[in-house]
Amino acid sequence: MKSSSATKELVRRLKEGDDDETVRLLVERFGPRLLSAAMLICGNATDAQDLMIETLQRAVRKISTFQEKASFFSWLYKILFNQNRMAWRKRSKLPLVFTDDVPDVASDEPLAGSRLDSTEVADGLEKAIRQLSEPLRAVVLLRYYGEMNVEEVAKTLNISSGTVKSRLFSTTRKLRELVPTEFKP
Amino acid sequence: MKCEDYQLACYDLLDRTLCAKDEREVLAHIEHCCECRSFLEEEEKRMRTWPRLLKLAARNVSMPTDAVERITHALEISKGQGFRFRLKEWERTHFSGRTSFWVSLAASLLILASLGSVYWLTQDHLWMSRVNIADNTMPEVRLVKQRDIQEISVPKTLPGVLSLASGEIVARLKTGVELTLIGPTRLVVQNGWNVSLEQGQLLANVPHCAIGFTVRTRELEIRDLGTVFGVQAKAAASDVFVFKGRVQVNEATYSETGCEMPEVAVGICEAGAGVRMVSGKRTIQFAVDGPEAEKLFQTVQGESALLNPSQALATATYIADLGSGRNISDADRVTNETEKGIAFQNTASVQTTAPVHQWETTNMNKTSAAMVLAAATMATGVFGSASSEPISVNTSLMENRLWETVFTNEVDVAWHWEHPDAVNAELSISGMGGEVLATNVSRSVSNVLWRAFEKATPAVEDVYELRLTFLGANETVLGALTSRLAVVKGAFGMGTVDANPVSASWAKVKDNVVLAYDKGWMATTANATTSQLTIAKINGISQINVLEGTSGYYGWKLKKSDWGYGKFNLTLSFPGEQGEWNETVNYIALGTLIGIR
Repeated sequence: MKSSSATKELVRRLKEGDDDETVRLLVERFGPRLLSAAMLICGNATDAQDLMIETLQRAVRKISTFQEKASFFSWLYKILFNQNRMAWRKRSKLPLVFTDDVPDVASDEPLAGSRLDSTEVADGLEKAIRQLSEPLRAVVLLRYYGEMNVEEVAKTLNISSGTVKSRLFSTTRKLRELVPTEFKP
Repeated sequence: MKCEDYQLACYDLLDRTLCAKDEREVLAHIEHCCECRSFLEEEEKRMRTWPRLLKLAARNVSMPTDAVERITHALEISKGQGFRFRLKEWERTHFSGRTSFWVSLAASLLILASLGSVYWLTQDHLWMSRVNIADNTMPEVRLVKQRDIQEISVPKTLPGVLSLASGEIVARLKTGVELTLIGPTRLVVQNGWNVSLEQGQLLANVPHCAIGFTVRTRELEIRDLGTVFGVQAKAAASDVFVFKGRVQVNEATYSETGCEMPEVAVGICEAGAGVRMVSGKRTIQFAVDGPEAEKLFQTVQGESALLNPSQALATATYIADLGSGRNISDADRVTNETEKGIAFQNTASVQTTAPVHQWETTNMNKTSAAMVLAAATMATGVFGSASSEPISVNTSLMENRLWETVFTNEVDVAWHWEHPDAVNAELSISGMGGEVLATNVSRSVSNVLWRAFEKATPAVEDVYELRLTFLGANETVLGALTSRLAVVKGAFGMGTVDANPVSASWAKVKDNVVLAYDKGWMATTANATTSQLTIAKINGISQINVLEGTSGYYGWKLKKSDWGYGKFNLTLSFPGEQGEWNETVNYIALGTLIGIR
């Protein structure tokens, strides 16, 4: 995945200085896809928006470290996953808060024997993916949401192609258990 | 190798990163191993369906409206933190021990004094901006950027004139609309929603909240529908070109004497399309077409236009010159034909809408398709009332001719209400995968714009059957018209179509197959009047298909059909003529046909 000339120009401008206009272009161009990816990772809109903003903010601050030969989007994805990992570590240090409210999860389940529409299938898949461990989820999202090939996923996550394939393979097995029959491809 | 190894290799197989030797080995194993074949099919399906599902799953989140502000604000803070960190570092490295306390205190006081004096010197401006925000008295037109400008005039009240003799400015209106002006330009700003470009060039970046923002020139009225677009007003002509989103373009609603005129819609222009109007002449719609224009457009497409507005507008002019040049010749040709009074009753015309740089027509019978057309982007008129001419599907290898095709994914299906008793009609369009469009239209409608595929080029090839059924009162069927349309990647632009049956493209296709055929491939079949394709599955069923005409495309439905996997012998022949084309193909679980020669 090579960066387009427009992306290269955007990167050049970011490297020159982060004026409002350039940041706005960055948000418009890459924000929506990052936001969707963040939503799949976090599972709620508020965290997803925060993660997307933190990712872009970090990207602007660290733009000098971006090497032009790499794909800009892959680099953003890498930041997104790193930021998420850091946020997760922070959250895990917070004390647990118990409430009396019990979430009504039963209503989210599809009715037995009912025909599922695309939205239900999509939601079921998302839930299953969020149950995966962080390394597996990252590989799945890059492969199937980012539509990257194995080599691109490997480069983005700084792991070997073999590891990517074995993680995808494990994911497939795990999803067979997590995903209801109707959700399977 | 174990099955698990082959399954891991399936990822590479689907990514097409295996070398030929390994690919053969994996395919050979898969052909005989049900488990691995099933794994491959599942993964292929995941790659195909999950991106869409995951996008759907992430639908419940919207971009925060203050995203840019939050990022820039966080950056400001981090810069401040960076400064403090660097100051601490500097203190740590240059001063150590107890004595450094007094030195660093003195340094801090000095810095504070400097900052204080800077604040004192600039407090008027800071105070002004605070007042502006607090009182919500933002200027009607605010200059955001300027470069190499000369003789600039910015209105303080509206309506007013925003002009510059040379250079480039970015001005923001209260509605959030950002206008980039390149001098010499004179713009009358009526209010945040309406401007008139009297002379010069502007690039408008219209946020979602300002949809409806309108730019007028002497010739045109451009109403934004959420977009980035460029407008150029010259002495006797106006150009509009859309870089992102779309705009509604109308002819100007006032005459030179200032009288109100009825609104004449030119049409909706989407990204990559535009309109040129020369005073006193016809309006010309154009669009990006051909490799040169496409390459140029890629550099300015979307928000990229804002990065270099001058280049974007120059590119737009170039594309307009290319497009309008071709349009004029086509339009002139049509006018001439109309004047000659060619009758086209009981024939179907196929004609382009926007862009109209090339013209394709075909003679068709009233009730049956006469020809499969090799154009993914054309308008299919089932009844031709306008001028048209018979189409020639030029695929001859011997003469090495080109397909005449157009470039738009919008197909204008147009017709005439031949049946006087018809009160409505049903339009149905079906591809090999099933029905893609079904709509009911009343008598007041004579065309339907069908988006044959989403992106600039089709994701899959297909052959579509179009059927228009005229219905009278009580839903009685009065008659029907049919037509066919092939969507073929190779038929785009002016590139040669690889219609050679012995070439790889004939045998290497995915899922459903679109096969080209042409009597002109062999001298011995050049005079053929009919053609047929025989499909025979080895150790299975056979089917003889009588093809439409002797040149065109045939859609062979393999996906979700009864054919199943296996080897097939295909024979293209022309009854009564010597010579035929033969091919053996192998349809495997991967969904790819591989030719065996």
